[in-house]
Amino acid sequence: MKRFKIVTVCGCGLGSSLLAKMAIEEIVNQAGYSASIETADGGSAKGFKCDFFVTTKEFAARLQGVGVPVVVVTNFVNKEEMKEKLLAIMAELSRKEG
Amino acid sequence: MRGIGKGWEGMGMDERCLTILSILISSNGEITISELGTQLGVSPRTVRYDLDKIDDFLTAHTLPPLIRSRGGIRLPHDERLINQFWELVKSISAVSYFPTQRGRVRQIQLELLFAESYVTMERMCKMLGVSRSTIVNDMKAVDRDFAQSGITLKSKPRYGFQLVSPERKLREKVIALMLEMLPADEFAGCMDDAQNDGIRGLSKVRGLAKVGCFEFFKEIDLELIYKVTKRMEKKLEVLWSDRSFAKIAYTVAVCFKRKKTCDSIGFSPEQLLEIENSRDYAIVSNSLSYHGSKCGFTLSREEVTLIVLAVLCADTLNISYYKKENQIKMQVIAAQIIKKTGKRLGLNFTFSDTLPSVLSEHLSHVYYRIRFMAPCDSAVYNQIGFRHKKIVRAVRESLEQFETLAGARVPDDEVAGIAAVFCGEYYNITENRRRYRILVVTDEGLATASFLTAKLVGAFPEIEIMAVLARRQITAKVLFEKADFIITTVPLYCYENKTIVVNQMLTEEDINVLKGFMSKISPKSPSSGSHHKDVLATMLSIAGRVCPKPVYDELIAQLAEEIGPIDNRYYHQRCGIMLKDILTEDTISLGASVKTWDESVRLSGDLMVKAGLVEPRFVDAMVGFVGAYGPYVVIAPGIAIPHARPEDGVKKMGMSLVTLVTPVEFGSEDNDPVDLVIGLAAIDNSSHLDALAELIEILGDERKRSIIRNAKQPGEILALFR
Repeated sequence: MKRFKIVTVCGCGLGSSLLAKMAIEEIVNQAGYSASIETADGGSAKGFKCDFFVTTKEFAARLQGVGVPVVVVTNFVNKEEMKEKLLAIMAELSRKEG
Repeated sequence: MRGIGKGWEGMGMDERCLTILSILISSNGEITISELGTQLGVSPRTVRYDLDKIDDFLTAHTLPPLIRSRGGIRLPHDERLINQFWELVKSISAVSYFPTQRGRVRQIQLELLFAESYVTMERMCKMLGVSRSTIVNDMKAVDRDFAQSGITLKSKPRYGFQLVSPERKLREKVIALMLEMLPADEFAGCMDDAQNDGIRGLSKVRGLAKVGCFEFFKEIDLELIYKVTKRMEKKLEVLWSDRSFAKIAYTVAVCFKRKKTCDSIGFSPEQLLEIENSRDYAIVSNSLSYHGSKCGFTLSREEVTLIVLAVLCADTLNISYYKKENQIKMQVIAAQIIKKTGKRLGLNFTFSDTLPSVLSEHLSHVYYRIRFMAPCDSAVYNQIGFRHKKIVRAVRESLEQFETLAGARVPDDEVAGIAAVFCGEYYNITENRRRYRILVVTDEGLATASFLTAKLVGAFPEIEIMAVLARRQITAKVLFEKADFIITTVPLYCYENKTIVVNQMLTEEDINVLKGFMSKISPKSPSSGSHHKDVLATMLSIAGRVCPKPVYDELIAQLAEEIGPIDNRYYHQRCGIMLKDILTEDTISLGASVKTWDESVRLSGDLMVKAGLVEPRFVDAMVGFVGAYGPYVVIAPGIAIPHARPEDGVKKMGMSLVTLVTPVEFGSEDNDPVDLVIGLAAIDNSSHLDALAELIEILGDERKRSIIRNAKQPGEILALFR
């Protein structure tokens, strides 16, 4: 099975990106996927190689042109939103790969 | 000298009879007369007389007499009757039996300690049911005993008696009296029984609380103070010694019982501040307000301080995981004391695994006891001081730096206590109790390996084989470094200075070589199964890295069930810091009113500046990040978590929490307006992970979210934390 590489992005790499990382870890495990997740700050995010980014609207704009999908999350407390978006993209990437 | 027992006149029920009755209520089976005699320190004949008195007393109360059988004495096996016995014992107040002089003195003392003004002679006569001349005589003993505790008894003609001493002294005396009436071990043990056994257990508590203290303890909710103290112990993740536990519980009890609100207990503003700055303060005051709000009372600032002080001075049975304010200083000082003491005794203590941690833990309690002149009440310390003068002297001469830090000379009993930490290690070294810990490396199979190890152990009882390894396992560095030396049947080409190559059969010549080698080196560390502890520690730290937190917690819980409590220093390093550790009352501001988003961010930042968590420039950086990147800190509808980088001036990990009366706009399309601002000071990108996870869990719960938004007191929010 594919092991996803996911990078979460926020201003300093220790606030919302960390929240996203924790939530994603849970979602990925529950759904039976496998993934490695790293956090990054806005300045260095572009340098990361990954399958897709997860971030807020503000940083999504800065990540334009990275060549991989960018998932935008608006609510980091409610996991449902994140879950829906993540499962969709992981299913899609798995299909492409498969 | 006997009093007028109201209604019991002539029946002769005294406190010993009452104790016997209590013992019988609390025991499930029969007790022999000689057993009772031993427990009470009297002859069987006296017990028999007492039993007759009890029978008269019971009959007078239309209760069946005691049952005497071959096995001993017991009460009828009837729960309903037992309850009646218990009610009867409880109903006998201090007045209705005849206390001894000692009992009377204690009662007078308690009366004086809790009195709001003068206590008259008449009152005491009435209370104890004795004559004036008896009281006059008792007062001499009362005065003597108070004087020993540094409390002055003042008498004024026509008014009576009053105590004139600082409030703190008076409270210390009450606690000392309570400890005498209901000793620590009985308190802790019996409360556990009470939880399991209901009335029988509880009757033990009150039954054994001797010396006419029923009246006094009747007004104290022992179960409540036990619960409060247990909660503090749990929250602080310590294990107090029984004595310290009881002392803390009684301190709480006195604060609860003390109806008179006193303005000052006698702390100076500097002392108050020092205690309030300790990290135990937040946890203790939180636990107290949790129970306090349930029971409908609040404690004053000084009263909380008094309880925190008891906590800070308490002896523990484990090494606390919490980083104390002065921990690093304490560790440095402990290391110096170890070195200096060793030098004076001509021994090397620096190889000890346990000495540094035990000593620095112990010193951190001694520190507070000395600074706040709290008594160290271990009788054992003085015995140690007497028996191990040499060690005590060496310690005494090594304490200079500690005394400078604490700002006072260490009293003799405390020095003896510190010496006690050294005694175990001292005997390990001088009595040669240490064993060589060795590794055996072989290229052969089990059969020959077991032959070799059997021969080794036979020839050298002083060795302990840590493991038998194959040559290629030389990668197990930890083992190789811990071993005193290595016995191998194949050359290793490393660890040469501590490797001895022997024949698989261990010849006489090999044994001689080994003897020669061992005479030159001495064992490094004590045996005592510490290798297994090393393995456990390593395993747990690996598990902490690879397991998700719930799995890890479950692992710890199950392990603890199988092998007993796990020393928390082995796993907490991995376990993370929770919300309660980094978000406290100091950094919560409720119902703030601001006009703009940057004011709200600054407010959350300023709280952390005030609490000493961050430098003022951190606040500018917080605002700067939002300015530069936009409202990305608004992570959910109405919630913002402004923060900056660790290098922007973070001194200590922490959080702040601000609720706003009028929500403000951050410019977030999806999540504006914001009324909850949580400032975050992180020291790296992972240490605050567990706390953050807990925060999100709380914020994800609609009910808890609304508790936070509507909170009027920080306590309401703190109560949500684990």
